Amino acid sequence: MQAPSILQTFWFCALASVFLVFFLLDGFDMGIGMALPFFSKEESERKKLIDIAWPFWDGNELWAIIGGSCLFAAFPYAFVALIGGLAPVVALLLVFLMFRTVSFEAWYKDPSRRRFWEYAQAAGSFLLAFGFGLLSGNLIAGLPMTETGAFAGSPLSAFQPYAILTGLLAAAAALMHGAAYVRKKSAGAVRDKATRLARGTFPAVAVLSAAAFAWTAVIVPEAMTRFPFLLGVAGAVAFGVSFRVSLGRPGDRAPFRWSAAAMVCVWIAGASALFPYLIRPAAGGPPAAGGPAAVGPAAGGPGLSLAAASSPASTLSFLAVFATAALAVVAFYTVFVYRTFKGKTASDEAAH
Amino acid sequence: MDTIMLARIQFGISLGFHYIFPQTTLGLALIILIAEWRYVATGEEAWKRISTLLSRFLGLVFAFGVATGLVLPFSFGMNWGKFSVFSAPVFGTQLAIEAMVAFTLEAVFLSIVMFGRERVSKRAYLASVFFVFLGSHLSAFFIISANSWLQTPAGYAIEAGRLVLADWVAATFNPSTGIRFLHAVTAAWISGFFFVLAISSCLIAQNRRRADAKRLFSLAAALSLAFGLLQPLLGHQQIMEVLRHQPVKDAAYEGIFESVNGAPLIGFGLPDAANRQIRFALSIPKGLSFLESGNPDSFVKGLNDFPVETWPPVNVIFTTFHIMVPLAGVIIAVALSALYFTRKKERKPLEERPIFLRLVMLSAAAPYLANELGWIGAEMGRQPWTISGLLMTKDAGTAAQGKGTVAFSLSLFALVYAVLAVLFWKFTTAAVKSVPQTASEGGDHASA
Repeated sequence: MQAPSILQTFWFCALASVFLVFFLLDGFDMGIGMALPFFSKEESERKKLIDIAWPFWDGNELWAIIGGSCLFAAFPYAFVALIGGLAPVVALLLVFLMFRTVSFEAWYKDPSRRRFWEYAQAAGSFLLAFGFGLLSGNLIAGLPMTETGAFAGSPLSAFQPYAILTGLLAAAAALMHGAAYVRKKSAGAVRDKATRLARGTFPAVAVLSAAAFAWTAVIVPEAMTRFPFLLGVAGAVAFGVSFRVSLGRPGDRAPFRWSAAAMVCVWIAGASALFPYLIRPAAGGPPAAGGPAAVGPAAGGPGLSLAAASSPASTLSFLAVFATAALAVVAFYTVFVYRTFKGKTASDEAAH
Repeated sequence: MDTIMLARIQFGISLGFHYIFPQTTLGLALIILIAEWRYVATGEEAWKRISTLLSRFLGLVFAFGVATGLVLPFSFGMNWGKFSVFSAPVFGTQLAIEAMVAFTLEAVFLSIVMFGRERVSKRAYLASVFFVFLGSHLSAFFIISANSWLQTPAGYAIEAGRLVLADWVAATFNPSTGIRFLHAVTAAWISGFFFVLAISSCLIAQNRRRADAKRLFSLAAALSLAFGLLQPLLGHQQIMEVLRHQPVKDAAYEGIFESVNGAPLIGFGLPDAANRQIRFALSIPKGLSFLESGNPDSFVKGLNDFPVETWPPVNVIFTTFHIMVPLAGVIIAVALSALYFTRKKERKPLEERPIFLRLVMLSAAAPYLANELGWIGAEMGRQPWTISGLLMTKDAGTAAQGKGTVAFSLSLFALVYAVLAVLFWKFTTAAVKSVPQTASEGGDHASA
C-alpha cells in the first residue's frame, strides 16, 4: 500500500474534524429530537425543547454538507464507494434528514398534528444519529472493495455487527449530548428533566463506548500501539467521569462541555484506528451477490487507502489553502452567532 | 429504460423540485434587504413589519431549500460514480467552496434574521440581512459557475487520463459563467418578486395588514417590471454565448435544420426532429440572422451540418425554449398592470379588484415555469455530453449500480417530494393566515 502524502494526511484530519464538528453541533439537535415526544407530558415543555434547538439546526446541519462536498472533492473514490455502494441506505438517511428539517416548521404551522411531527422528529433524529455511527463504523470494520477502488459489496454489507454497535453508540451519545445542551439552555422543571435524562443515558453510553473500544482493538490490533488511540481512550474515560460528576453539581454549562470533550476523544480514537485508510480492508468472505465477481476481491479486498482514494495534488493543495481560510472565517462568525444567543433560551423567543 | 435514463430522471426531478426554493430565496432576500435598509434609513416602522413578515417566509423557503438541496451532492455519489471520480478535481472543488463560503454564510446569519432581532443592534441586524443576501447569491454564483464549467469547461488539464485543476480562476470564470449567472439570477429574482406579489395580493384580498401589503405590492411590481424588461436583453446575450460555444444547442433552440443565409426566427412551431423539420412554423423571415449578427442575410449553420449523434434532444429543447420566451411577455404584462392599478391617481383601490388580485396570484406560476423550462433547455441542450467534449452522459454512471437500486431511490424521492410539495403549500397558506387582520389589529401593531 502506498503511504499517504502530507496533503492527503492533512485532508484526512480536516475531514475528520469537519464530521466531528457536525456531530458535536448537530448531535445535540438529534438528541433533543430523539427525546422530544417522550420528554414531558406538558406541551409547553416540549415546545421549550424545540425553541432551544430551532435557531441552530441549519447552521449545524451545514457541516454535513461541507463534509460531504469536501469528501467529494478530496477523496472522490471514497465518496463514490461509500455513497454509491450504499446508495439505498444513503437515500433513506437523506429522506430522514429532509423530514427532520421540515418538522420544526411543521410543529408550529400544523398544530393539529403536533404529536405526529414530534414522533417524526424523534424517528428521523434517531435514524440520523444511528446512520452516522453506522457509516463511520463501516469505515473501520471495512467494506469489500475491488483492486481498482470500486465498491464490491451490497447495501446490506453496511449492517455488520461492529457498525451496528457504533451506530447505537452514536445514537446514545447524541441523546446524552442533547440532554446536556438542554440543561445548559433551560431552567426549572425542564432543566431537571434534562439532568435526569442525561444521568439515565450515561450508563448506556459508557457500556457501548467500552465495547466499541475493545472491539476496535480486536479488529485493528495495531491501534493499541498508536499514541492518539490510547490518548483518545484515556481522555474519553476521564471526560466521561467528569461528565457524570458534573451532573450532580450546580453549574449548568459544565455537563455539555464534558460530553463534547468525551465525544472529541472517542472520535480521535476512531480516526487514529482508521488511518491511513478511508475504508479499511474487510475481513474475509467472498464478495456479496451482485458485485462484479470476476474482478471482485477474494477476501474482502484491499480496502481503500488515502493514497488510492484521493484527487490529484493540485486540487488538494488549492482546496487546503482555501478551506483553511474559509473555515477560519466560518468558525469566527458561527461563534459570533452562538454568542448572540448565549444564556438560557427565553420563552417565545422564536419567530414563528 | 436503462439505468442511466432512470438516474437522469431522478437527478432532473431532484434538481427541478429543489430549484423552486432557491429561486424564491434569491428574490425574497433582495426585497427583505431593501425593506430593512429603508427601515434603518427612514425609521419607518412599516418597513420593519414588512421585513419581519417576509423573513418568516424566507425561513420556510430556506428550510425546504436545504431539505431538498441536501440530496443533490449525494446524488452525484449515488448514481454518477464515473462522473464524480473524473470531475472531482474541478467540479467537486466548486461544490466544496460553495458549501464553505456561501451556504454557511447564509445559514448561520439566517438564525439572526429569524430569531435575533431583539438581541442585536439595528445596524447589526441590517448587516445580518445583507450576509444572508450575499450568501445566497454567492451560492448561486458558485453553483452556476460549476454548471457553466460542464457547459464550457476551462482551466483544466488531462494528465494520465485524469482531470487536473490547472487554473482555478479560469475554471470558475469559464466562458459562459458571467452571462449565465446574470441571466439565471435575474430570472430567479423575478420568481422571488412574483412570490411576494402573490403573498401581498393574498394579504390585500383578505384584509391582513393591508397598508403594509400594498406598499410591498408596489415595490414587488416595480422590481418585476424593471427586471422583466432587462431580462430579454440578458437572454439575448445568453443565446449569443450559446451560439459561440455550443452551436448545435443553439441550432436546436431555434429549430434551424438547413444551413442558410438569412435564417428565419421561428416564433411558434411543432418540432419534428425525426423528419428534420418544424411543423406549422410561424416565423419572421431573416429574423434569426438579423438577431445574431445585425445583418438579415448572414449565414446560420443548421442541425443538418452537425452529425446526428451530437444532437441534443431537439424536440424537447425547442419546445421548452419556445414556451420560456413568451412567458417573459406574461411577466412584463402582469408587472405593468400591477403598477398601473397602484398609481396614486387610480380611484378604485386594489382591494376592490378581487379578480385582478387572483390573476396576479395565479401569474406567479409564470416565472417559476420559465425558470424550470430554461434550465431543462440548458441541461438537455448539453446532451449527449455531461461535461462538454470531455465526458458523455452514457459513460458517467456508477459502474455496479443496478437498475433496481436507482428505481428504488427514484420512487422514494418522488414520493417524498410530492409530500413535501403538499406540506410547503400548507405551511405557506398557514403563514399567510397567521398575519393579523387589519381591523381587529388596531393600526397594524407589530407582533413578532
